[in-house]
Amino acid sequence: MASLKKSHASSGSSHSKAAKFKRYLPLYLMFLPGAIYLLINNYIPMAGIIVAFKKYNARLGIWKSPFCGLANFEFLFASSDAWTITRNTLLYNQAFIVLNTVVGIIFAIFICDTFNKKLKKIYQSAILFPYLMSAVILGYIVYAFLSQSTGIVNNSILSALGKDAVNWYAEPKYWPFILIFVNTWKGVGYGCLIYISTINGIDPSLYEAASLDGATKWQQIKNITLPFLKPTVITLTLMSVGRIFYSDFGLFYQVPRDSGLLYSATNVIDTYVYRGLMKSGNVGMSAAAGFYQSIIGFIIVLTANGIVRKVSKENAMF
Amino acid sequence: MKEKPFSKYQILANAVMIIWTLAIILPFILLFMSSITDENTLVANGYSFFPKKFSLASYSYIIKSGGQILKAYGVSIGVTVVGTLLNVLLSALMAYPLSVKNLPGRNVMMFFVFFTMLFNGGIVPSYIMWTGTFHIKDTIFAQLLPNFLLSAWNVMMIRTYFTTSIPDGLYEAAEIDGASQFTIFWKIVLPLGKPILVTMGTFAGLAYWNDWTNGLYYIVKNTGLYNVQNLLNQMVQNIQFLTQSSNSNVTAAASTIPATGIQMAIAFVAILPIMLIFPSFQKYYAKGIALGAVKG
Amino acid sequence: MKRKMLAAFLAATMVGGLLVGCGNSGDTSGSSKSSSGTTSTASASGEADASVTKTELGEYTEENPYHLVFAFVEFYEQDDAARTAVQDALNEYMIPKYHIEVEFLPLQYAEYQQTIQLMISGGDELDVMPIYYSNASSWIAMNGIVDMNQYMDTPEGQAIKDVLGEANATVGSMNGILFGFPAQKESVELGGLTMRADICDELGIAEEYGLELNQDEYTGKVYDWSVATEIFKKVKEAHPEMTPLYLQGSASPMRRLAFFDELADQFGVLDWEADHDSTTVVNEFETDTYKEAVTQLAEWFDAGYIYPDALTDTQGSAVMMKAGNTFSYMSAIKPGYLVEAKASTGTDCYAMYFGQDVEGGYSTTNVSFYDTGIATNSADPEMAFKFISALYTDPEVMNLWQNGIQDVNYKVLDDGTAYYVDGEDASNFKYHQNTGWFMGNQFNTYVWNDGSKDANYWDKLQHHNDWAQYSPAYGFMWDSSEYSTQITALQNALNTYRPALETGSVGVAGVEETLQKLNDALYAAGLQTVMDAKQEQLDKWLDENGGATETPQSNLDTIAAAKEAN
Repeated sequence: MASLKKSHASSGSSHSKAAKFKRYLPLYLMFLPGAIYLLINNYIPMAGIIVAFKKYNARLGIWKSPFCGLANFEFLFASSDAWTITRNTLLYNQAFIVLNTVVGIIFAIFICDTFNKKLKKIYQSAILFPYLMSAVILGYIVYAFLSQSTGIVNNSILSALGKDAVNWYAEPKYWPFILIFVNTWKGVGYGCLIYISTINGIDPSLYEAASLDGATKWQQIKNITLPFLKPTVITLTLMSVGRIFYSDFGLFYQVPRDSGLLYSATNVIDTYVYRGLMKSGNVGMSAAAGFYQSIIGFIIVLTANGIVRKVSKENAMF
Repeated sequence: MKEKPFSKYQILANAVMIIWTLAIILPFILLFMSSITDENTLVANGYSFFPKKFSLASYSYIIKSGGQILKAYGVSIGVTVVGTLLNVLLSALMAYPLSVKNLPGRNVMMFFVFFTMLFNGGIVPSYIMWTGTFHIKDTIFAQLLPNFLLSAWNVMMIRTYFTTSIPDGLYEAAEIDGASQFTIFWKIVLPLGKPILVTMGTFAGLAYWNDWTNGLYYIVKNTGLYNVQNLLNQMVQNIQFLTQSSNSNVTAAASTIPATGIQMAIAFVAILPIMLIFPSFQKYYAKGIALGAVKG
Repeated sequence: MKRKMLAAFLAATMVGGLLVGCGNSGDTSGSSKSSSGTTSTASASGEADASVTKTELGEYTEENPYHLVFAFVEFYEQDDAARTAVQDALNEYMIPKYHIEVEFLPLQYAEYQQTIQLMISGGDELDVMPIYYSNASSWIAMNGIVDMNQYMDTPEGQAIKDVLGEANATVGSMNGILFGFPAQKESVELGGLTMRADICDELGIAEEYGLELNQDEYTGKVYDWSVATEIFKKVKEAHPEMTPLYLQGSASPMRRLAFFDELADQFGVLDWEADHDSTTVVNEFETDTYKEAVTQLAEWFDAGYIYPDALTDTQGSAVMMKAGNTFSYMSAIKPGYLVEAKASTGTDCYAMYFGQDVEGGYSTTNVSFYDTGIATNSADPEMAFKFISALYTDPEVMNLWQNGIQDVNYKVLDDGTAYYVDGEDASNFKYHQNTGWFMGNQFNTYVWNDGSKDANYWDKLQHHNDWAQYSPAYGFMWDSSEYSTQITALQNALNTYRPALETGSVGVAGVEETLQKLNDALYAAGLQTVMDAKQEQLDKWLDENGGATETPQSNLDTIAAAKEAN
């Protein structure tokens, strides 16, 4: 609000409204095609959220189905699992956000600074490859390492060290580490590539000037690279925070191979909903779960954005 | 930036990245080795980097039963190329106004975009709209239009890049020179934004390439429009049914299918084109046009 | 600023609302007809003039047939051109006789439930569809399935009753709504072990129990599972590298060890094994029957007889057998089973029936696992019903759909069985659905000659059902739609512990503790509420049904004779 007022003043009150409109019209026109797509693809179907509050009847359709209050939401809170799945979802997502940011930035800086062009190319390609692997295949690969009877870890590594084989798929205590590692393995490339492109956008003369001044590598990173990455980090984090009640279904379902004994460490909201509804396919209840995940994320992200706005206004999203 | 090749920092950075690269490549090698391991060896001894017995049965099964596979590659490639180009263009067009700090109503526009990342109405209303109003069912548009043409996430990332990496003064200088906003967009914003546009384009392309949901929901009768993922998914599921079903109505065909190895082979077939193409994209990740060139 | 955002948001959703609203109101007007059609006297009068088929909603002739979309599941890849040719051939037959033009809608097994649910929601063209029993309750709740009771008194309804029998024709009912007809197949719960023939021969097992190749017909001879322990022991001693028994966590072996009438979802069951006549809903996981069964599995696991990765393995028994280091797996067995087993495992096998009783259990779940019904999308459900009736009564229709065109896709052999035409086999056929066990009446198709079956194979299969001792609740189907909240939590609780218990992975020492945890979790998730509701529905049904369902006398005679012979 304040920023708008200021800009209003700075753009000069001598401009008439018409002139201002004419100046900005092309910008609104550029915004338009994407906005129309979002309106069609996202906003129109959003009306379907109302199903979360209804007893869905396919022949009456979304609008005419009778309301049923909050009945569709009950299953999310009714059982003792509600606490476990909420805790797991939140903790894992926090760990993922922090690790993907920190590791992503470190790798991005390393890659950008790599002297050898060929190696640079290899790192940059490799880091994206895990993105191509579907969760099912990822599940098989992890199983190749952790299987009880034929797994590489039990048969080659632990036996060589003279240690007993571990029944990985029955011991929940290992899984927070396994899942966090697998998620980093798979997901770090995304942020990393974005950081690389941001670093590539930094004016090289800044570094040249700094090294002429005798700045160490660490000082250059601290004073040039990181400040440049800050807006990107904030945007990425804010967006991830908005989805903090969602989780990568494949990671939590396929990778632990749906092993019941691991649920205390692997059950998240998405897997809980899937297991509960896959047999019946209840439209209203799945809509309710989605709405619950969205609204909590929405509240958290508004709060987070508010805090960012207080601390550094220019980096807030809106 | 001006270090010696063997400074301590260079050694550390390279050591870390080499270890990580190995951690990435090794599972892919394991995946490939499993796909050429004899099925019975694979089941009995598990996955191994050095299988005792090799077999190409998985690949010959894919070639034999996937007569459609070339066509599916065609659909995948076509949709990915067209979809990615449109996605990048739309995203950049949308991101640029959002990066103009003085634009009246910018916050509302930001919110409009951001909101779509949080809330969605689920598949049922989307399905009703796309099939009922737009009639895309069983057409090629089913692979192209829903969900992937524009992602709010990409728009936000591009917009952030524009705000941080393109100096404000540039726009004003251009405006004073009498350039229109469209000229600025074409001549300044797009070239300067190349690193992020290529990056986000890569992700948009991967999203198209990896997608099987549009085919699942919107392609029912005209299976000729299946993309590679749809076709391979269908193959995997048929095999799973044939070989795992406790229902005893299975025909002799099942005993000849290398059920486990084929999943690995299929995964490999699906990602191979990307693995081949991606490294050649690398050059675009390097700096776009040097900033100085535009300034001057 | 906030107000502006809100306004923009509201405007956007309202636009959305209008569009979606319009689309839907169109659908409702089209389908409200379907629910109003109650009587079908029209069809009876239509019989008078064979050139016109009249229903309440329309008149159809050879020139103006009813266009019907028939969704089914394809388990094997079919050639698109061949399928189109078969569809044309079917219509050549259907249009003059039924005034129905059929459009095939083949779906994939893995996704058909979701596809159909979307099509129902979208109001797409869809008439006849497969219904998986666990979807029934929510599809009925969302008004997606036509109640077929209204057509049961028509000649077509009567014809279905004649084929399936009164009890089986109405088994796909829930709360008085007839949603689907079961496929014609063997449904009695009988089974045991499928074992590698070479190892059995080597260790003298074949000799000891008189096992022979292709000996899979049930004669009332059933072994106690303690016998299996002896067999596993022999195998383990002679071949320590081999897994005596393959199990996997995702496929429960419970049905082989003890039969419960699961009453659709396992949350509250009838302990059939303990008392064949009980109509008291109990918690399966607190029964002695269940505890004994999982203890048996745990003993085997501790002794090293069960595959160590059973808990999470997904490869399946056939793949494991083929790989050569698995001796046996559990399965249902029926006449003709061993040929199919050989086909999938790639090795000769023997079958042995195991269980506590001579008779096999028979419940609603067994029979109505896969059903055929009508979507409320159907423009004229009465015509759809006529088509379903044809699937059960008209051999020409079923043969065309299943096997294709005679002498193009299959040929009839001299003994009355059928096989692929020359030049085609299981690996390169163009059209051969082989899904008669999933939808319709396979007994009306030619017996497929896979090497062991003769023309009266369907009789044998039908007689397999003579060993069925019906659950007293046979015909009852529990409607869980009001208890979705509890069911979700119960399903999660069950998934947590069931695979570990039912693969023996907990070990004997862990059985007691794991059972306790499972039961605590189930009761915390609302098991008692669900069981009470189930009992109430069952009692009400028993009342309406005039008491428990009786096993046919002929079955009881067969069973009694076998017991005497033992």
